[in-house]
Amino acid sequence: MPTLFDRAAVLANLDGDTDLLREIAGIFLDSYVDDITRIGAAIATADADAVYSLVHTLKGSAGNFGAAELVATARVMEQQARQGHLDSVTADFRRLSELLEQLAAELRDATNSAKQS
Amino acid sequence: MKICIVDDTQINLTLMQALVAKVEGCQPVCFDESLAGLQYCIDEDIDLVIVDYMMPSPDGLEFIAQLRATANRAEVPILMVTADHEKEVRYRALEIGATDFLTKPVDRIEFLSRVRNMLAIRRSHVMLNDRAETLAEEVRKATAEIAAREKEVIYRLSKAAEYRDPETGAHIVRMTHYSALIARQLGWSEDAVDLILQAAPMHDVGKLGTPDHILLKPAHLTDAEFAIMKQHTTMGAAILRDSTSPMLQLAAQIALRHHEKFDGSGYPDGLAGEAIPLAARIVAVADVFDALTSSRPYKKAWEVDRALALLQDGQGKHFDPECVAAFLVNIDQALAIRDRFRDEDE
Repeated sequence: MPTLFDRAAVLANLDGDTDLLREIAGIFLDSYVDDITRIGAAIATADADAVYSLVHTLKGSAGNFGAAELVATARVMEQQARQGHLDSVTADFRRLSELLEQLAAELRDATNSAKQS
Repeated sequence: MKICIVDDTQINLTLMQALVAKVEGCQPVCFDESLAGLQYCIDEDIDLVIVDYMMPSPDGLEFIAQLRATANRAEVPILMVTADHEKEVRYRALEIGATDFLTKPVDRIEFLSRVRNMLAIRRSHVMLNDRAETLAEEVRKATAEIAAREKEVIYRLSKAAEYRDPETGAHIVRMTHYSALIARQLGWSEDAVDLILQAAPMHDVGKLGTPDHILLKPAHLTDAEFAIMKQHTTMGAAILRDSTSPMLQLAAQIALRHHEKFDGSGYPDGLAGEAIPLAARIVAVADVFDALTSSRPYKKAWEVDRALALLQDGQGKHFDPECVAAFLVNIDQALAIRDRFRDEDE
């Protein structure tokens, strides 16, 4: 699987501040599971507006770590939800969840190894 | 410089706060809740506002609209943060008053550059406002000084004119205040009352041309002497005439006409009623009242009641009835003036 977390670019954008990286990675790791749950609930209740804004926000957060494929998937979901088309969104949601788990794992690795060194 | 950041997404808020903290002289103030952030920006003088678009109500656009609608917040720089495909949102934001944009995800170089530019704009504004205020204050001071000097020159000129006259300087002050009292009662604006306060002192400036033996005579004047004395009105008008200053124009009117009588039996021209300028009709009452109630070389001061009776009897004859009535309504204030500005030898 291609890496989601673009460590070099993100660190450059943070001007090499590994503490700051750990801080925002921590915020993401603390909240992504909750975000997945809420998006799932919104899809289940066919609340297109909620799907749109939740996915949009998630897209924004994840985008801070690079995560190009995740952002692209989210964008498709977001646009579908905006137009009220929730049928394809369910399939995309599965993919989104996988990608989120992958990003989370990569971030855990990155911040753990940073702690060790 | 205080920078307020409003974003309900924790990661973005954290990032932007860290970035702002790196800019020299900048203090970030963060809100993860739109309404609280808006209230803060309304209440405090912030130097830069960074606000996310996608937030629960008020969203970025509503936030900007409400902030701009607040007094004193029309010029504070506002950066709105949007995802880069939200073009319509950006156009809308420009219309409502956003100064510029930031795209998500936040790029450090773009962020710092934009923030620095906004702060430079802000600094210029603040300097400009300060300078405007300073200039306005300087102008106020200079104008006040000029006005005060003008008043002083007039007062000294009037004193000079009356220097040879046995009537004392306090007469000028008293009758001027009586005149203002009457004018105010007749509904003159404060600006107009201010004019009469400056013009009335010069009513007898023509006496500069009156020979000593007449001016200083302790007894009553003969007809011939009186004829010469009367000329102080036309001479005063000649001295004060042809000015572009409204105040001096008023003074010329008063100097010329303050001895006319309401029934036309006055001098120099025997004008009657409303043909006599109102300012002169006012001064006539003030001048006579003060003359009666003051000591002169040729007479003692009258009792106030006796003087008032003369004014009342003179209504329609010597005096404009409305001017007398206006004076009587304020007799308490007049007596306070009389008390305040006593002649030195009393």
